[in-house]
Amino acid sequence: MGRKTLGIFGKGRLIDKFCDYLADSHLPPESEAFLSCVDEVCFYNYGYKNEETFRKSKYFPKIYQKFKSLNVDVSVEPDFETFMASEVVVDASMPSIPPTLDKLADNLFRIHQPKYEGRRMHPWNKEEFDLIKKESARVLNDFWSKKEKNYGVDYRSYSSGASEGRVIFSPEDYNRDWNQSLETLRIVAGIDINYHLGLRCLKLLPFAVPMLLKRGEQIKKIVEQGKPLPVYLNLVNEPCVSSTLLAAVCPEIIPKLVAVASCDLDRIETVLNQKYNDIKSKEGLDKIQLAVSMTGFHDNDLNVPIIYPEMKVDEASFVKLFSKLDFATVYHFLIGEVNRNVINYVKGIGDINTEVSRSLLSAVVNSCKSIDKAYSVYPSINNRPLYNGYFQQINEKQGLFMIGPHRFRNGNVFPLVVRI
Amino acid sequence: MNVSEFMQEEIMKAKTSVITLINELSKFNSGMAFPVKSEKKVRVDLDLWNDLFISSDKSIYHVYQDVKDSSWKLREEPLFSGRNYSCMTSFVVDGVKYAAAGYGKSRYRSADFGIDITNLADDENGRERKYVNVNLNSNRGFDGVGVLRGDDVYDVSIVGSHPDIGVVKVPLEELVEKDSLTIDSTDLRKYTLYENQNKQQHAPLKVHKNKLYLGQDRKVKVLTLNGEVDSEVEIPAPGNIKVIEVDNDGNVFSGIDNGMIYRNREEFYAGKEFRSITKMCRGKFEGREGVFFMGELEHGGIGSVMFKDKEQKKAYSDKGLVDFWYNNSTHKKNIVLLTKSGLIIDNQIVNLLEDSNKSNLKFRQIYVGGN
Repeated sequence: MGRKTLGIFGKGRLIDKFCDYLADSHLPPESEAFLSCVDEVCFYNYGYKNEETFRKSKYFPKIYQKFKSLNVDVSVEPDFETFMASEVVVDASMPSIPPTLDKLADNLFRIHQPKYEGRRMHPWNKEEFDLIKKESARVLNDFWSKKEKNYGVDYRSYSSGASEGRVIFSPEDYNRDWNQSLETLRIVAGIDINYHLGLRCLKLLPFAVPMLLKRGEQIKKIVEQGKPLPVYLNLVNEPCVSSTLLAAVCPEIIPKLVAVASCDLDRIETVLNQKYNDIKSKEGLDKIQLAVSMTGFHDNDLNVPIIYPEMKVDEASFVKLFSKLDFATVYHFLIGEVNRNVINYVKGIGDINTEVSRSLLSAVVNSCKSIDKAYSVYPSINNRPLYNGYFQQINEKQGLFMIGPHRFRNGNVFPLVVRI
Repeated sequence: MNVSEFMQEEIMKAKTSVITLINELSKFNSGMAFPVKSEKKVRVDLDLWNDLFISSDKSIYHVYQDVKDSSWKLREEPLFSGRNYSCMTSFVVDGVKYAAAGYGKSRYRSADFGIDITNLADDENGRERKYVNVNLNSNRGFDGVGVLRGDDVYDVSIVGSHPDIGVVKVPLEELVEKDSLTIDSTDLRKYTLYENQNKQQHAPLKVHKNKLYLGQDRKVKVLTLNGEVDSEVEIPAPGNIKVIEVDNDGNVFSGIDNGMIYRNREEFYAGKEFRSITKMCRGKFEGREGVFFMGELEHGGIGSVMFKDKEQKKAYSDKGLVDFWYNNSTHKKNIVLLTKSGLIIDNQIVNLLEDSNKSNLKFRQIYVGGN
């Protein structure tokens, strides 16, 4: 297997932490796996006037040094088609977030924030619901009434605050994207009142939408030229919804597109089995190992952990165990564990980066290994599958990206049946 | 509510949130809709002329044309080795090139025979190796292997013809999650596409344009994809058929022991110097169309051509000639000769063997895929 080129959109903290994870001397197998698959990383320069300014830009010199220390070649490519000739592409791009819109999203998020009773989300009663709806409308109307002023503040901040060498959008282009983000934010907030979404959907997705739609069009052009597409590992938040939007513009990318959704299932399984150890012993079911898989979306309260018996334990024992437990309590305990890293991170006490880096590394290594192997899957069936977002049908014609177990086969997603 | 129902409900809640979101976004911008997956049913048939395979006693080597400078190269390590390979084919699945070789024919009584399959990766780490073993007591192996395709790009089956059994068909999907498949007497029926009624001397097989041509009972039988015999197109031969070739127009050539070849029911006599026909094809020689054929190595070493008017000419009289192949595809006309010292491709000597450490190997056959 010839080593591959890994294309990267973005050069922010995610990629910086990914380099740290690779370089961590405690993790030689992971680094080795990466280095056995990748010999070059190619950054897409989409926001700087030339390669020189890109190379001098924030974070890049540090990231460059880290990759070089791993003996990985680093290049910068301004041409989208050339960049997309990489075998695997990681989209870790982060759009610029206009300050007034950011503040609006913050306010809406605060208003919509669910209350918890223990680990369970407290359902809003009618009074609370009406109050939230009213308050949400007030905040939006208030913003709307100052729309022109807010736009002016944002554009000035954007154009004057841009670092040296940045490409500056014209006011017209900026205005188009700004309005698109505002409209998306309004729609997302409206949904969030009625059906709970999460932090990534509400606070990050609206700003990524203009970028995603443009990128989808660019990818479509490559398809129209009959050129092959790389494996596309998408980390733009929220990754399942952003992948759905990307695939709506360019459906040809569906088999190659993966919404990277980090979730530390090993840890969650350990915690789960430890917590219910006593009750398992009491029922004589010590040998039952409860395994966890994931479905749903990569956002708070939208990811759904699924518990099933492992080690060929018969369904009857599983049912017997849960007849002694309140399943809803077990489930919400798990949800809490799934979200714990995110919650700690938001509180500023946790490190979510290791989990993200681990998931990304698994996706990079296994997708690379699978390329040009049409009759093998990676990881192999002796290993736990990956849990990321991939295309799942919702009716005969359409689908969306949802988390589920999968492997890679010849650079394509190989979905597995979700056990419930 | 049981555990399963509870989880289904939780999934539905999450799904409803996101489905509602996408629905609302699509009202604002038609580009933000639910994606529709396009069905990947287009079959990709690559011209495999740029990949040749040459076999020695127990190895098959890959010769390929470098896309950068069009030069021909021989891969250092054999693609297959260690078994008595008797036949091979190559094919493309989802853009990946594969080769498969049937083995088992041995002068020693062996308990198994089968098919080895690999992609054509350029180094050992990238090789994807799969094995089909048939555990039946037979001292013979597969005489022919081929590839059948369904609608989906991955729906590919490998077929092998065996003189004791008939035609075995293994869907390659069965090998996706494992490296090997062992077929024994209990599950042989599941994999038998067509059962031989009598034990045959040989069971030559040719798959051409998704049709199976099987040499059996002194005739070439055409099998459907379900393994049924199309009795209307049986082509009789006056001897045991050893090899079958089909040209692009559907003309069937069958090589038999006493040196006759048949183009459908029309006879061509190869000549006394050929004990049996090991290869034939249709092509142009000196501007005239004819049928090329070749005898077994020890008696032949000479390629011959028979023109339409039955005039016969020695086409390749070099005693060192071991095998040949003629590409009769619609857009290319190439000829490859395998001699004792190397390959001659389009009249150009490619000294792949002399220049390598493989000059001591006795290469016997060339295979080119793309059926």
